[in-house]
Amino acid sequence: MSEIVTDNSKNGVSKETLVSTATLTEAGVVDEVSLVIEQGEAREVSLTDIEKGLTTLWQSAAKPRAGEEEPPVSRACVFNLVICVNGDTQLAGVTEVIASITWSYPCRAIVLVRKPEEPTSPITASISAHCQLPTSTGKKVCCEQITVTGRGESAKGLWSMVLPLLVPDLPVMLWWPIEPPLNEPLFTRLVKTADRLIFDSRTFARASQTFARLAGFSQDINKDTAFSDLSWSRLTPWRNTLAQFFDNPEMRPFLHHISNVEIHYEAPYDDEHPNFAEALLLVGWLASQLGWQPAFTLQRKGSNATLILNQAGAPLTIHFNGHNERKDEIGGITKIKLEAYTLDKYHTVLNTATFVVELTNDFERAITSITLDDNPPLTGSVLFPQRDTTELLCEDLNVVRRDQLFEAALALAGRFSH
Amino acid sequence: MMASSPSQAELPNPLRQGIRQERVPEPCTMIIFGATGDLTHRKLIPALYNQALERRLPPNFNMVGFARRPYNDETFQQEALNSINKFSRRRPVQPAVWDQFGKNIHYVQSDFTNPEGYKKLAETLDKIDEESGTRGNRLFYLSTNPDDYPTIVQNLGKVGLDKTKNSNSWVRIIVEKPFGFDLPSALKLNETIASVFHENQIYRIDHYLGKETVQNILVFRFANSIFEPLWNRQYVDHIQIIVSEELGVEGRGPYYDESGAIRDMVQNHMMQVLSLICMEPPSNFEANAVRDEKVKVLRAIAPLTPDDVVERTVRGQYGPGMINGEPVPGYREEERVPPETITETYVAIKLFVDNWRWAGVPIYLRTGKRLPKRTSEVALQFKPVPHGLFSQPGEPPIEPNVLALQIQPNEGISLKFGAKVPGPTMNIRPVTMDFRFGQSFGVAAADAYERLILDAMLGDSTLFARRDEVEQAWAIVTSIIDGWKLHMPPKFPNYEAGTWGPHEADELIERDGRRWRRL
Repeated sequence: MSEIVTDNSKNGVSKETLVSTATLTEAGVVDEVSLVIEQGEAREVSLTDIEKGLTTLWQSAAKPRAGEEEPPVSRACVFNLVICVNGDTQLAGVTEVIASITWSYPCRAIVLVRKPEEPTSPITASISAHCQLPTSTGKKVCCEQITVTGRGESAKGLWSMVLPLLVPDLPVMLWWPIEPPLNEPLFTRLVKTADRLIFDSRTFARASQTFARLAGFSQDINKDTAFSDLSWSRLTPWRNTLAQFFDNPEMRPFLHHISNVEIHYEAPYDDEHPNFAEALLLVGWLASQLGWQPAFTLQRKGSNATLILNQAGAPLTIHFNGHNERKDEIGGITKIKLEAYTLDKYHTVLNTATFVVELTNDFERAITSITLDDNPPLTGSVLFPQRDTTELLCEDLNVVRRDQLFEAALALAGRFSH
Repeated sequence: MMASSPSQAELPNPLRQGIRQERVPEPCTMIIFGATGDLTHRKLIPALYNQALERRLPPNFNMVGFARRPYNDETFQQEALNSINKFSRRRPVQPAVWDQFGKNIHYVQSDFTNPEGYKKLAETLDKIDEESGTRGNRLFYLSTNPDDYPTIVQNLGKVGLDKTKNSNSWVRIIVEKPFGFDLPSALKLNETIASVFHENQIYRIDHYLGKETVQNILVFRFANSIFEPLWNRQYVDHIQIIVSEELGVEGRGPYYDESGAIRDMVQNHMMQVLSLICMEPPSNFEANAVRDEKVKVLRAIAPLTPDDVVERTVRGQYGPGMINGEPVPGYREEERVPPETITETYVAIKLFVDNWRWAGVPIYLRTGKRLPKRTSEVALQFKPVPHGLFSQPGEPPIEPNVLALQIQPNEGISLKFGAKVPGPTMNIRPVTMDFRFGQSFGVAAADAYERLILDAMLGDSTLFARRDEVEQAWAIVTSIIDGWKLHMPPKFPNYEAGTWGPHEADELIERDGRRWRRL
């Protein structure tokens, strides 16, 4: 029986350290194949022998070593992770992520590498394994990666490699770390077989349009596929902090009369391709939860933009302001400001309030402030841990079901440009 | 020749008792009709050789090839050697084993219709009995075109080869599939064979039954106490049986076009697996006790009415597509396949076993060519938990338990169940417990033919199809074929090579609120 091992320690923290080849060879019982497993080295296999190759790999690894009763490694798999990338640099990036998620999410990773610009040659495949430090039982938990490369025209046929390689009965997670090519058969076919499509809207060139297409996809032919966005996970602390303002029942009336929203985000230096995706998604979420409807389409000027929404018949303006402070978090939100008021029974303004969440310069925490009327602001501080792709991905892999809130936010964000 | 009186034969051999390798048949001769055919080369000769290697064949085992091609003993022996070196799982041949095995291979060249050939065969067999002490024990193997079966059987009868030489010897005949083309032809074939051989001499081979996992269905069900209590309509929501191949027709176009997926797979392999999965516990593991229970299952499946056929079956035929990244042609473009053919290469069927145990539990079968991968599995999906303790209103229910028995290519058993994802929230994720034969026992499973031929030599017909089983399976399949004749075929091709079959097949199961398993 293969043991399913999961651990609630921090994802990817206890990454593998490999037993040195010398020690193992001295023991004199390790053959070449199990070393492949231990070292995570990729081995070329013929297309028809992928499964056979994996079986041999694991069979030899499952043999107990001299002087030991238990086999040193344990193969585990809780889902299929299908990933599509372009070229070797992206492959190296995702391979690293796969290696670090093994600990909490042992899976079979099937990586499709597209190299359409290279001369056409038959599809090639290689297999490798990722192992993590021994668990309390002394066994290493290992999982497998199958890399399939399509050069030139062969890249179009990569989809046909996926169905035969899926581990039966387990969910299929499709992770598209680059902007998904919505019109390509490779994308549409793979989405149909996936239980969850994970993309990153920071990679989108035209976020609102792509949101609209994706929302259409999720409601139309792919109603069995759940969609998720790494940017949505990045918004979790922001959404949480905004929600906390209104956990106090006295603040809730302000939610019905928001007069102005300002969202500051990191834009590229050249202002050529500002990425609004995260900011749009946040507004999409606010709009779907508070019943705002699009009134006018988004007006963009450089990295700034304005959007006018309809809040129960009254116009509400959203300002998107691009800044250039951090190169590594292009598209990331840095500050949110909500201005709101309440009315008395004669419909005159009773109170005003301003709610602000702003990242500090060290990007580790955010300062919150509430200013009621002319009173001095009430400030607070919340931790805003920065999370890398692996952690964001793990958050999405945790959820098997569809995320209704996200889908509603996505659908509305898709309507802002129409 | 060593003669023995009946009284001697009835005495047990006390030296045989408790010897580890118990299953060694009595000395005998196997006669293969169609000895130069593909099956003989790929399967039968390698199977016999492997058994010789494992010392499971009787010491004086002889084999006689009977076919039209102008071979003699020597050339046929050479052919056999080539087959072993090419197809045996234990290749290359071991000279010590071959020396003994090869010299006992003989060849009789004759047309199947020529009575002289059978006389020559009878003489050869008598000579072998004389020289090798095989005492008249004979195992005929029909591996020819099925059209030749009646001729061969009748000619065997004419020269008296169907009869035993004395009360201690045995004569048996193995019949390869297909057993008929539909119910009437199956009845006729059975009638013809029965006019010469007695039913207990007839071994209808279905190599699926020789597979370890298929036999393991019985062990799994009746040697474990934890599963059988759940094996009924109270707990099982539905059953899925799949046999898929990524191959196309591979040059067998004319044969396949006559038969189609339903005759090629459903009538034999899938019905056999279905009956093992659904049968009641037999009173013992004796051949007829097991087969009695199997046939009861088939009898409980009502043949489909023309309306049922529309509602509960889907036909498909593959068009061009991709397999493993390579473009492949559609069925109609395959070699020697008529371009307008309406033969199905895919079929999905919903059946019910109307008995106390299974009433109302649908059994979904699907099989096809040019599907994404080669696999053969049976899965029991259990009913969902009665109360959704862990799911929020409006959310999909927790995934049900699935018990999957994998028959090929990797024989094994897996059980899917829900487990909590570590963390502060009640997130539940399906995980599987897997058992793989290869990993647990570390022994390469023998080829199905090895086991079955040995069983036939030993006189154990448990894993062979009995006449009534074959006829009952045909009754069900023929009702479907007849139903199809009444309706326009769908617009073929209706699925792309490399995908899991036509869209209509998904609808067939989704109408019932269920889904095909992901394989």
